[in-house]
Amino acid sequence: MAAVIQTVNLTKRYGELVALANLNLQIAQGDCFGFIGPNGAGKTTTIRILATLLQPTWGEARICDLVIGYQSRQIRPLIGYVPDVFGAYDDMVVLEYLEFFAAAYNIHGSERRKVISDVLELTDLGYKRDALVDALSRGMKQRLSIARVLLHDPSVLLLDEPAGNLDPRARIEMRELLKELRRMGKTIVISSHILPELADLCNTVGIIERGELIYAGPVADILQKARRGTVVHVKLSGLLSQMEPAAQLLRARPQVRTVEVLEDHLEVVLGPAVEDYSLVARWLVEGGYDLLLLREEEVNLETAFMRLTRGTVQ
Amino acid sequence: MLGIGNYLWRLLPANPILLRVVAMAGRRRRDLIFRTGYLAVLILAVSITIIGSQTSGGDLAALAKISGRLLVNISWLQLALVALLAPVFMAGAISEQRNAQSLDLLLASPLTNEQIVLGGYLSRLFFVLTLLLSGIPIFSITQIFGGVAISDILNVLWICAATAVVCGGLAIFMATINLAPRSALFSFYLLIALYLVGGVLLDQSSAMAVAGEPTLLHPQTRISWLTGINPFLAMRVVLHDPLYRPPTAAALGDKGWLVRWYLGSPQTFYPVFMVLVSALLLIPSVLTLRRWAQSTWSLRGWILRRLRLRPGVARRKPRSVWHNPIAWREARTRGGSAGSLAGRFGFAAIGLVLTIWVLRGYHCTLPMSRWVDRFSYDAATDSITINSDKGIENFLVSPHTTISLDNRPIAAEKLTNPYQVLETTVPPARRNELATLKLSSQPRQFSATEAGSILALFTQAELALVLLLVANTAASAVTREKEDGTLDLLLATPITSRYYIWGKLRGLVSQAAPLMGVPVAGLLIFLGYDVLAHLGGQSGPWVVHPEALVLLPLLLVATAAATAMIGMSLSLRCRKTVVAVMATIGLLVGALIILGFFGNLMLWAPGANDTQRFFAAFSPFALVQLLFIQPAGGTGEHFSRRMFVIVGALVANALILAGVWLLYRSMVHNFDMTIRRQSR
Repeated sequence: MAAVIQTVNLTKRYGELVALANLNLQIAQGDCFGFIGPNGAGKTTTIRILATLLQPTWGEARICDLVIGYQSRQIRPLIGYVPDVFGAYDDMVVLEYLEFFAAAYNIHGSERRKVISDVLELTDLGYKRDALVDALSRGMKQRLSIARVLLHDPSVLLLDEPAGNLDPRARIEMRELLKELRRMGKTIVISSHILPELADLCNTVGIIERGELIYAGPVADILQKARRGTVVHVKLSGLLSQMEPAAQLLRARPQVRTVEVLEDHLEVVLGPAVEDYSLVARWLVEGGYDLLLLREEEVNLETAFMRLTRGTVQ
Repeated sequence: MLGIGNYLWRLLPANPILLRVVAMAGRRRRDLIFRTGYLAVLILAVSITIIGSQTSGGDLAALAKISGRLLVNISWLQLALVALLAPVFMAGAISEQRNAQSLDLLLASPLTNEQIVLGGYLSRLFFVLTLLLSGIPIFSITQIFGGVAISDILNVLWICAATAVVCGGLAIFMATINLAPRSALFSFYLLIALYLVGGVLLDQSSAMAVAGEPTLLHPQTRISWLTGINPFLAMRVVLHDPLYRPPTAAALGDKGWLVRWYLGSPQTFYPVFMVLVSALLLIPSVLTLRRWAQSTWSLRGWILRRLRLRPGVARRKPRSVWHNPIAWREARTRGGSAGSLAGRFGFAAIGLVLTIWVLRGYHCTLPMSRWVDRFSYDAATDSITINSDKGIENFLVSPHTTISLDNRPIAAEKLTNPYQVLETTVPPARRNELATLKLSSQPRQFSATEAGSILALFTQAELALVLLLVANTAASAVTREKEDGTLDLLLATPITSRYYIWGKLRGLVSQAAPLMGVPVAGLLIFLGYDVLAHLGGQSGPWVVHPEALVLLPLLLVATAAATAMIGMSLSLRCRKTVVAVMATIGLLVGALIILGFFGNLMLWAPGANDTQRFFAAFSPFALVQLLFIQPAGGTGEHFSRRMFVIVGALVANALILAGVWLLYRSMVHNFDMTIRRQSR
């Protein structure tokens, strides 16, 4: 599928600080791309460049084949940008706020009324149309932000930490709303620290650290990449002093790559060719040990993130 | 004893807030630039004074004269700079208070209220006082030439320092008691401007005058009741203004000691009084700092609730958004708030009430002791009847009789209104025949000149207020959007820089137009009155020149547009609203002081000619005076003067508007670049 968003060697410097170094990305039409990285890794910088708010120092970024910086004016109607802070105008009610941005997108008259009515329904904010924006809860404000970016029906949504600082209920509502947008065929770029939600929402992710893209691709691939082979956690019955001899027993097996004695259990990493980890149970039982627990380690986005990043940027 | 010593040590010399500022003082580039600029201006003034003196070096009397002139020039300049810079630096206290998080950190620390208040106060005062101290070597030049008493130099420095001290006290007080936090900065500037400029203007009023010590050259000198509490007036006394002398001790003999000190030595009263006022402002701040910080009360909120202007609910009926949303936001959301509307209506109401008060004074006639009216002249007998309190007098009118009205000849049959008889003369031989009859228009509570002067004063005050309001609104137009994050939302939309800036300007105009309408309405009222009066057969001078109907709105629009563009330009360049507002108002006040000084110099110079009046029209305040105050002289002279003023005003305003256009073009052109440079 053709790439809707493409960056080639995208670089951004703030004086001596390299915020983004040679970022190469390709995001296809209809993808939901999750941007993961520690604080200060360059996620917001990338999203701000894509939102035409920042000029790259080097490299090129394109949206729908239009070059950011040269064709920004044509790009802006195609994108919807939700920043990490809610830009609240004081003394505006919800309807005025949406009318204001609709006018900014050159939507006037009856079309404006219809569009606003539609987005209010989609975001379930219809009953708040007369409410002052300042008085809305954080979750409501984020939904209003989404309503705002849907006014001009953009094909690309750039969402910077849309679920940041939301309570659990608001987060779940936000996730459902974003899923609905994905079903509508929008291409979504979303940065977030809440990785399980990204795993649930996104089909592709990019991990960025210190301005460098460490990985970008389908979620399934990253989980596979983060796997260290088959990792099995084993808990033995009886004294903890039995753990070291049991570890020695397992280390003698050629299928076992490493065995680590942890606080109350063993972590066994099997070689790449070993699929059936029940072997571990058999070896231990044969060695005279009783098992309390045998569990394969689950690799999720969080573990993948922790393994792939060095965690040096804060 | 040790406890008190430790407390005092921690209160001032070891106050961490003060120490931080003092330690940073030598390193901050901005402070260095300010100090260098300040000294450069003073050195320039010294150089110009010495070069302009043109005297031979050996004459001691001439050197003393140069020295005296140096003292006068440097003192005025120093006071003007302090009056300009002190509010700018002291306003930092208010801006810091707005940053509640940094204040919260201090309040949550073991620092006492006294340490926080005095630390904040002295750290801000420190910069202005170091500026004053750095100027002392320049004052010492006067000692090389001789002829200037050290006590005069010290008095000048005290007055400047006291001005900074009271500004600081007011800033800290306003910051502490959370006086309308959103507009506190603007209120602060307004208060300082009203205090400084209002004092000087009210000083002119005869009601405020106090007879001063007569001298051989000037038997009639004066000060006013405001001299002891206004730095510019007290400075006139320090600098031995020959027309502005305090009364002698003998003249004040029957007064109490405080009044004797206040009127007899205003130059020493001022610094002491200001230090006391400052202390009075600081004490409640110290006592209530933490209580106010915990409180959610605000004066503005309280007033709005009292006036039922704040609905107190989280819902209201939506308003319709204009085609240009930026203009709508500026005009309706910011300018349409209850406080803003109340302010504008209040401004308009006060302006109109004052205008009507002047009109009433101008309309109300005073009783005359001798007068003629339209029944006085009898063409059949060619005689005039003069009415008086004592009865009537009849005179014959001959071809040799000279009748004049307001120094202009008039025929007897054209005496259509009541006129006051100033003087009558009769030939020695024929006692019943008039030789001359000097008439004047019927005296009113306010003469046309007085009404014009008062109206000019009101218009100047209204112009200054409008410009300050426009400066405040324009300077915060972009920075507020940067601060609350809404600018990014707009920049990600298809809105272009031209559309954005134009929208902002339109919104600002919508806000400022009703305010600008107030002085124009006053002008129209007087013009209408004069037109009706002349149609009704009255003669006499007009209060307002008719050309003011074009020139005043032009002046208001041009100056407001220039202020708005400067404010917006700084708002675009600065990251923070406080900095943008401070810079804009500082620049505006500086420009107005320079233009006002220049205009007054042109207008009131001895033997001022038409060319000087042409250039005086370049100063907004001088132009207002020229439009409202009738010049002395004959009709032809009037016409020539007015033509020069009209041309001067048109040229000046055309230049201002051209500057506005260039600034607008440059803003549109550099908008993206400037915003992107600030992006992080």
